Amino acid sequence: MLPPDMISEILSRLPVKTLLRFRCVERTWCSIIDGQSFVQLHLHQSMTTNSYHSLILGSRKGLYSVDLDSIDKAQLIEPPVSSKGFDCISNSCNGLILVMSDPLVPPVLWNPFLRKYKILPDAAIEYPAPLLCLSKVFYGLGYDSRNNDYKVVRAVEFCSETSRAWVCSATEIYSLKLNSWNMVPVLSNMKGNCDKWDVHVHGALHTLMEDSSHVYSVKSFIIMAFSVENENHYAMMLPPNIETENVEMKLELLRGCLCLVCADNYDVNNIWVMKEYGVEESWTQLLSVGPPALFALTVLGKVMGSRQEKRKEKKIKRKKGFPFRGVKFVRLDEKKTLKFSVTTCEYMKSKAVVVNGLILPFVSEISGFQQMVKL
Amino acid sequence: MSSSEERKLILKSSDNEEFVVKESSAVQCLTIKNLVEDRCVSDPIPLANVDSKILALVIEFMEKHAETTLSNSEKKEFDVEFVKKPFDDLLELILAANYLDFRELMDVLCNTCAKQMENWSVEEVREKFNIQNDYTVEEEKAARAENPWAFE
Repeated sequence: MLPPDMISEILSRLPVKTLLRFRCVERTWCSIIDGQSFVQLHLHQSMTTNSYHSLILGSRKGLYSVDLDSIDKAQLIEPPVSSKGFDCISNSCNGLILVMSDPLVPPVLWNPFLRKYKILPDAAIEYPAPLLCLSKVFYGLGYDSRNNDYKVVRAVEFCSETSRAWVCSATEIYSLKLNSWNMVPVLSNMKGNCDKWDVHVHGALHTLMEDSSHVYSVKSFIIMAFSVENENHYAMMLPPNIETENVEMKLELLRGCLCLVCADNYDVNNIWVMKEYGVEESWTQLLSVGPPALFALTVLGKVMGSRQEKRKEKKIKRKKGFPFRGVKFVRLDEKKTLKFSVTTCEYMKSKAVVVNGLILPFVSEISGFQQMVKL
Repeated sequence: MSSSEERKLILKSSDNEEFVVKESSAVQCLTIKNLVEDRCVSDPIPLANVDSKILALVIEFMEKHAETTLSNSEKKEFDVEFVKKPFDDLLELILAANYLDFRELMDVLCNTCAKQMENWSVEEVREKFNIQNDYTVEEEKAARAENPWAFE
């Protein structure tokens, strides 16, 4: 009765689990759901409608998913390859994540909602010189929209065996399409200052980094970005004149914009948003949240680290000009309860979700939305 | 009658019923908008793929959404009531919205159908969409076995 175009329109708004079931309705439905253009349509719907989004929490004890629509319980999810001891997850990209364990073991690219995974091919770490040891290995996951390709970025740092001082870094990229790894030139000032890629937006991975080109005593930070499409690094400035001394900072993603969350000594969180990507003048202070400090921030985006709750929630000050009603904050208290707060006007309403067995600190926390890409 | 707000159009359904609508409401349907802009408006505009029952509903939605005095939440409230219809009617409205290229109506209808369908079984889908199963018994079994957890 309904032509395939209309069927696709309806199906693109369904969660992955339902779609996998509906493959069995009839052959046409199966070929629609399995089709490449449907994957794109479904992802687009997922990203724009803010529904069926989940928070994925990773910790040593396991992986949990919390449905951000209902926020009622945290479900333990099976990691892709249960025989390996995975203890680390990367940033999320279009709902996909990397699950890593030992740096010598290849990571696993995982679509947690589709329950499909791919073990990446081995890429042994080559030591560029003798008497070096591995000081850091970290991964990021990105999407190259020009080539419709998912890419994994591995950054490796070597230090001297004797002095433990940083010697050199190397970056490699894995392309899902080509199923192979390639070396990439790396910036010289990325020496020992990065730990993790935090946010994937605008086709690039981002992380906060100490700007070691600064020779003066005042520490300054920049955002280091790596374009997954162009395979090059570039830097971006933080909001001008903000306090960075004794301030815990974290990069987040808020409605598709880079967001900086700063928690100072007084447990006040200041949230800045870069309204226009790459335009430093567009950094806008979004809100200021009084004690207790926010642990985690998510707006169907990423979540930051955790802290403990001390006092009752207080009023928040909201700046005008940016639509952020419905911003959700997540924090974890001593009783290992996840508390979700949703902003409405000036006060935050909380809902508690009990997560048993979740241990502090989180190794990594991301939120993902559902999509159909097979790996 | 000088401003375009007051210009009216006549739409004719497939079963020859005529409906008078404001041009400003009707151009939410891109199919009609294109006719107006290309100055190809006949009098009345024949809509061969939409019967009177469905066209009346489309017009109801169209006029509500064109009202500038209504707030977004009032329009949303109207939408919630509007979609309380038998599933068959929703599917027919989808066909009409597609034919008329009425994006807003299409989104509301598709979202509604998706929300209703989320937990349906395969059999329910076939019944509601009037679909004949063209899998063989073995094929269907194999397809189900590919993702058994989706049936829990």
